[in-house]
Amino acid sequence: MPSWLRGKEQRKEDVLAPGKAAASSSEQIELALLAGIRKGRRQDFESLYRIYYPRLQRFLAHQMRHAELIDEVLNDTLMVVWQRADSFEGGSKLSTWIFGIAYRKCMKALSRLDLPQDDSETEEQVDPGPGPEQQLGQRELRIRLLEVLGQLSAEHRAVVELCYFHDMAYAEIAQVVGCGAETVKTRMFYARRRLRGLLADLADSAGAQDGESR
Amino acid sequence: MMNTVVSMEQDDPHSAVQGLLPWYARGQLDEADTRDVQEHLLQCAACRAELEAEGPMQAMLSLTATAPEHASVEAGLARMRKHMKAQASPVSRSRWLPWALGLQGCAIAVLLTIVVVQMQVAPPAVYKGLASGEQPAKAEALIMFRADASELSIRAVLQAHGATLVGGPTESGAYLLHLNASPKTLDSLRAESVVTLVESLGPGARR
Repeated sequence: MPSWLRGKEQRKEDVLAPGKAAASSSEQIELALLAGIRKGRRQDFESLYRIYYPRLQRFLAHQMRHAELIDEVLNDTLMVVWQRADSFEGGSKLSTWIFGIAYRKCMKALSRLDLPQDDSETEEQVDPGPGPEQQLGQRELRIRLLEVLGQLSAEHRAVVELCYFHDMAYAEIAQVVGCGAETVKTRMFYARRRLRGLLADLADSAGAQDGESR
Repeated sequence: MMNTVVSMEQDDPHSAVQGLLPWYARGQLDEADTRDVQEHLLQCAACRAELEAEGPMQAMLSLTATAPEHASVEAGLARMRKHMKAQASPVSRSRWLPWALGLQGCAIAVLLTIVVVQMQVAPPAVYKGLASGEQPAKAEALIMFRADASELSIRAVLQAHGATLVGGPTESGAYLLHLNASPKTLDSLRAESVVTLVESLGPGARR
């Protein structure tokens, strides 16, 4: 059996199964909180708020990078959950519904700002260039990686984010961003190809700085 | 514009597989997708190399994660509470509101009186659907079913007990129930597994 196949099977048995069990129970807790929210119970809403704040904050922070807007969109999203909990019909995971609201509000806010969006179909992008002279530390590496993610278009970044950091399958992502599953795969293909190039550039520039500092 | 690019790339098996690799690496594909990817990987060294790069790439990007501080969660929640409070009582300072509520209460009381008097005086109304000429509207009980009860199981229970739904669902999901000529007791309805609640309506209802 080839190593890439063994690796996947290993992950499937050891990681995915327990992960799925945990996701299932956490989903049940979230649904119980939603039932309380439908009855107007504020304490249930606040519990759900605390669960979703970190997840939405991370998603929105990478999508928008405007601190004041992130807070606004995050609370607007969860306000919809509070006010319109009845409109969740259970056809998807609760997280898919909530992230879908967040995504739509985020894209609306971005369009209001009229920010220039990268067109990641244009493959010839400008290299971010070498960074500061000092060797890349952990904090700077994080900043550079955020810059790498920032070079993707908002649509492509959302697909990467939801897959890599929010563990969503492509069908779920299609529901969140409101497009077909094929489009999600295609966005992932382009986003991934772009990321590969940008990360290789980052590694090269870090290596060059490392060499200079010696 | 993008759709054109999408369809062009989908024809390329390498693009199709590489678009699935992140989910493949994470074990999140169904059997059919997994089989497609594996069959391609068996014969494509370039895509195997892409798969090898997937893990390090995901690990590298995961460094961007930062957990928000507890304080920022609570600060966000405090803003939310303020917002909710503002939305909950947007007209609370209106001078006319108490008067409006008072008048509304009077109107409701008058309407209720009229309805009760009519119920006592007039014979019970009979509603006839297009398919059922004899469906009575008189409800003798409230009934609620389990959320996951199928239409088939509900129908079977109603038929077995000679009962008919004559109204509902109410906001709480309850239905109005009429018990036909040879009904079983409400207790036997309560014993049905798909039934969560049966409440008699009024003193004249059968028990």
